[in-house]
Amino acid sequence: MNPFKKIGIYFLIFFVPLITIVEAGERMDLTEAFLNGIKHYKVENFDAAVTEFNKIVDAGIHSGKVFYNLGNAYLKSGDIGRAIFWFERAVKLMPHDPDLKFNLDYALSLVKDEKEDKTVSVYNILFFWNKILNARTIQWIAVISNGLFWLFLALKILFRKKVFKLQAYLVLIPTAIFTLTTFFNLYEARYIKHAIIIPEKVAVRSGLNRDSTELFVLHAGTKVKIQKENKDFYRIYFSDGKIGWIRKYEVAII
Amino acid sequence: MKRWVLIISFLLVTSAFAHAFEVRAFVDRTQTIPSESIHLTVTINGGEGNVDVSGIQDFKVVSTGTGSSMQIVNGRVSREFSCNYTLIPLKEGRLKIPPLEIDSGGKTYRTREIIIQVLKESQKNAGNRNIFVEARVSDPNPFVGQQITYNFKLYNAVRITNANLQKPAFSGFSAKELEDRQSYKTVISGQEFMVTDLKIVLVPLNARKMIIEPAVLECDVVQHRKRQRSSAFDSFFDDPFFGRTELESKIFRTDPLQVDVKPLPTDTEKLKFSGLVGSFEIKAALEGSQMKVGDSMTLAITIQGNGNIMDAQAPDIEIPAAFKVYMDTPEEEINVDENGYSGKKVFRLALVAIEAGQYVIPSIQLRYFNVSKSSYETYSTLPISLLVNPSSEADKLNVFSTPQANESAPVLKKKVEFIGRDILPLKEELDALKSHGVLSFYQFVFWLLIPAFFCLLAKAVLVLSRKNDSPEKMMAEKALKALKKASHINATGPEFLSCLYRSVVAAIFSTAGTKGESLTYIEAEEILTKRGYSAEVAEQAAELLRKIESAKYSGSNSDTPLRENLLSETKKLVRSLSK
Repeated sequence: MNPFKKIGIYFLIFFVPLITIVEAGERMDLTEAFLNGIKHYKVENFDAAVTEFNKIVDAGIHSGKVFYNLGNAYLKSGDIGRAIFWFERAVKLMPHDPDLKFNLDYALSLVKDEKEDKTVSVYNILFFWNKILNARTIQWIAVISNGLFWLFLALKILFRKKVFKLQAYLVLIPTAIFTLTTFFNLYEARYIKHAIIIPEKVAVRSGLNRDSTELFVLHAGTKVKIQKENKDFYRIYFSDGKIGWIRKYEVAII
Repeated sequence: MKRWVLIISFLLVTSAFAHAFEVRAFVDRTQTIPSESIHLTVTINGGEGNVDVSGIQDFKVVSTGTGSSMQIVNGRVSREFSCNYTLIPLKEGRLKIPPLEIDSGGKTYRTREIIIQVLKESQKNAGNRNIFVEARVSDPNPFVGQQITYNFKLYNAVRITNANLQKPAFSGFSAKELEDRQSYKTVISGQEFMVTDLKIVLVPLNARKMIIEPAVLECDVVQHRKRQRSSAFDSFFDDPFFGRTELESKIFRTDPLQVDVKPLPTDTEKLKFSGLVGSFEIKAALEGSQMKVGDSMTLAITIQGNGNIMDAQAPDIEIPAAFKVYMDTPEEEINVDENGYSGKKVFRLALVAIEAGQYVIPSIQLRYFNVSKSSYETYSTLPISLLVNPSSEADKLNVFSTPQANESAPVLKKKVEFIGRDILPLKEELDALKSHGVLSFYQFVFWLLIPAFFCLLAKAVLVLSRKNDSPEKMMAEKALKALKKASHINATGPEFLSCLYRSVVAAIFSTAGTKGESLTYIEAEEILTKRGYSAEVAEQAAELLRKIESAKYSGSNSDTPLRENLLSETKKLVRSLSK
């Protein structure tokens, strides 16, 4: 028998079932952690619930519902900073979930700092779909509409019918809009970072050492924009005229 | 010999520096009071370093700068770097400055722990105060719902600046701060103080013992620098602008206050308790004493007084059945001053008479808890008589009645308010374990390019497959395609004859196995003859070409029978040639 065929058969016989068994085992562990988290939460053992839900996140699961549960557990354990951090991460994945919106509003009502930057973003009005749909949905709309565009183009080439050309042009409009939006979202995720203050109270300073002047104080749960990074520090923007340096461990990037 | 001298000199110099690195932390005093700050200095001999003061938990740490100096004593060089801090104690008792870590050149050094004894104010400095704060409540033993006043006072005989007051959380109370803070002067033990007076109205929400935490005031006290000499110009230059004063950070705390909130006593009366606590009265007034059937008149009920007036609800009113009642939105005028909440709430009812007669609106009662008497009281209005006369236009009277089910007065709509706050529960569906991460930049570009790649691949395959087709096949296909197009085109269009021409030419070229676009009659005849077709077929083809060209250029293309004839002949020829 051809040696390559033999290797292929061995691979199918041994490794594929092995990979399947390992994956199933990991899945079971995550399910157990999820159910344990819920159980601990219900008996008001919130710290244990946080530990269990964190296991799921550490396994690389990006789920709005798990993030929401983590936010709830942190909020109940009194950690407003981390609660808002996880709620904000959940909003990125399920922006229209009513439970999430309710709980986030409640958590924000507990934040001590009043939001000062209340200007209405023109970007949000012009590119309203970017607020209505989550980033993943926008990506897949772009991919599917792009696929349709090329499909119509291929049909036009094969059958030389004008109707396919027209359809290709029609699909090109949403393809362009959603592809550009996705590129912007990817750029924003990489270069325009927002973060949440984690400790109860953080002094924002004018420089990178402890002797630097304390400019103002922010409290747990306040959202800031990261402007710059320098060694162990971030330069943050809170509102017009209120910028300064804080240590990296004092914030969590959404 | 020289070499030995050099070696010994080198060892001496290096040993002088080698033993130089030393860290030290010391304070200006180890005993203080909560309102006084102490100064901490951390010195580093033989280099520089970063001092980590994050471990100091018992004090608020304010950095006051750094300095460095160099000394040469007996040929020994020493360099000293110092960091200065002001520490404000956060509580009383035995407080700790833990060993501080100093990071220098990748190594970590530690100072020794320092213990600071923070004594109670009275233990050290009672009676000798230029600044002090106090807090009081107007009644430490109120009933639930009874408003009391929390009064914070700052007394200062010296100038202060950068004052920052941290008010207590007032958990278990609803709190409303009065907007106007008062400032006035007073004399205590012969010393004049400026008093800043802040008042907060508190309403206890539960009956239990509650502690109001201390209010904390942080401020900088303006102090004059001590001078060796004094001159006539001193008073002129004694101004912060000229730098002859300095600021000392201080912190002041009030004592915690205990408030023992009593429950309201059990009400033995059958009359419904209104929920009002304080001192109230109720009034009722009707616009007139007579009206006609079909007319409307307003009954105004006013509840006013001092206490939780904002919680007042419309009292129960027994309106005779001969009236239809429509209730208006209540009006309220509520003020907050140092006596607490006071004001009035007016409930207006529109009465529409539907039956003539003499009626009495019975007295309206308000039962509330009188704080000053520590008992429930009932306040009543006088009964109101009202005469309803028949309408002069009784026949025309048309009082609209709603169906029986809606006989009562319209429901007064109120804004729904939260009465408790909590978060919504967890999401327990197992689909929560599905990951919904977004694609990375490269993954996204990959997915975009895949269909483009397949499309281009299809195009390439098509082009290649066409390239491999024989000219004979391609021309035969072209002939059929042109013929098909001619059959579909409107018979009057000029495109029709062109299609017929292309079809005939392509069919003739396909027999020759070559490609081409046009032929003369002679060429057509020659090709067909050479390919073994009969002379009759060749002549027919040449004749057909001639006819098509003749129709095309003579302008007789609108002749329908001719066109049908040409199409039929072309079809016949193309079929015979393609066999």
